[in-house]
Amino acid sequence: MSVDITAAEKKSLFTPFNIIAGIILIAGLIVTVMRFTGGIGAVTNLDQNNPWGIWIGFDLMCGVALAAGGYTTSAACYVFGLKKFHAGVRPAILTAFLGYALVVFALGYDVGRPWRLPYPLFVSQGTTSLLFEVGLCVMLYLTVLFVEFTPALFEWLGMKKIRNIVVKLTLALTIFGVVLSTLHQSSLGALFTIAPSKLHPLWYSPYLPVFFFVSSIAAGMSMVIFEGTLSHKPMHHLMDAEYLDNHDSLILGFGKAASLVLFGYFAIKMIGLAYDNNWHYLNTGYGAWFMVEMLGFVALPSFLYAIGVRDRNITLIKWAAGLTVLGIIVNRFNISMIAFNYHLPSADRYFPSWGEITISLFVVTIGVCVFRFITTRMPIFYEHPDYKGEH
Amino acid sequence: MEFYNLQEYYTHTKGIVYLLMGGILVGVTLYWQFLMGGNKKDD
Repeated sequence: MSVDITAAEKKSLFTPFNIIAGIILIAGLIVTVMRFTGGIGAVTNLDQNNPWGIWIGFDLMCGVALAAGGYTTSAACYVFGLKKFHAGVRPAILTAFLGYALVVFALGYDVGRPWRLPYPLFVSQGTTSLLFEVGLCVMLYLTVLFVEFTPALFEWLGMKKIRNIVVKLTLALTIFGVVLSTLHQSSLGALFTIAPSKLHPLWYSPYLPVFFFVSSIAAGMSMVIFEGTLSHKPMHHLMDAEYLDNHDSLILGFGKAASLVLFGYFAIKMIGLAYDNNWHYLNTGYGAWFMVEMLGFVALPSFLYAIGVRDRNITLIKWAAGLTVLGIIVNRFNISMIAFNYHLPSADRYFPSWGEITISLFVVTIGVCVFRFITTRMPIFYEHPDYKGEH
Repeated sequence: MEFYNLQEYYTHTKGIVYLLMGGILVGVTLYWQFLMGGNKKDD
């Protein structure tokens, strides 16, 4: 393995990935300076009608949902005892940790004065606010994810004693992580229950917290499959036999579970429609878009997952995972932007500025670069030779 | 459909929800059988 890493390191620095990532990072740094010197108005299209844009709709809402792979994979492995998912836990935990870290990082751009981020928790607690609960959960869960990630770090650094202590905490951390995720994944949906007159009735529901939580489970499992697919080729030389042997089994297992969860999600969304008697809105433009979301990004991937699992067609399951990830992004965009303020004239509607898009790309690129940096150095896709079968 | 009081509204919406739930219970059983069918090698 070390021979492969050395060979990979000898490659030229000017690879297509490095060039594109470099351009995005430089552009992001320029917009960062503009944001923190000129204020939020200098780089965004946000206004009094639209105080939340893609930094919340994409970086935060999608980031948190797609980082749900951490708690779903670790719960499957350590709580439900499905040891075939073991090889997938570390990549999933790392993805989740980076996802949450970048959510907090991106939030700094949106709220400004990032050094005051701990104030709502430690100085002036707004205990009646859902945002307080979301903030508290994200802070605690980010800490949990960091601790869950540290065994790989300590193995890399050769700190055996502290690594063994942290590994003993795995089950407790997993349960704590599941509890925290249940709380804040649903609370992100509950945030929108405060604005029933602003969010289109097809997306608004008193059950929004349930919709957000259930969809996050499907998002998490799909993201584990999607991320595994993306890293399989470039990181193949870093993957050990256990990871590669269990990879197909993990995809089939998560594909099966995601299919059922998406079926359940579709069902409760229909119940949400019936409960508020919103069927007549389906006959409108927004209704058509709602049906595209429900049929194209929920029912279709659920069915594709099922066909893929029945036929043991890994490629089809991977496509279904990609479609589900896209569907979650569409859903969070719909709720936070597209169907939000739907009654406003088109001139007052929000569309992200180039500065906002640049920062979102900047944040994703940082995530990919850090993921690559860590996976090429630490035992994420393989077991450290000194700790074979110990965790 | 027009409703003249809250009871009519709730009777209608609850009725639809109960019908949907029945459909979902049957649907999820059939879907489970469909999902668990097929090639069962080393499952």
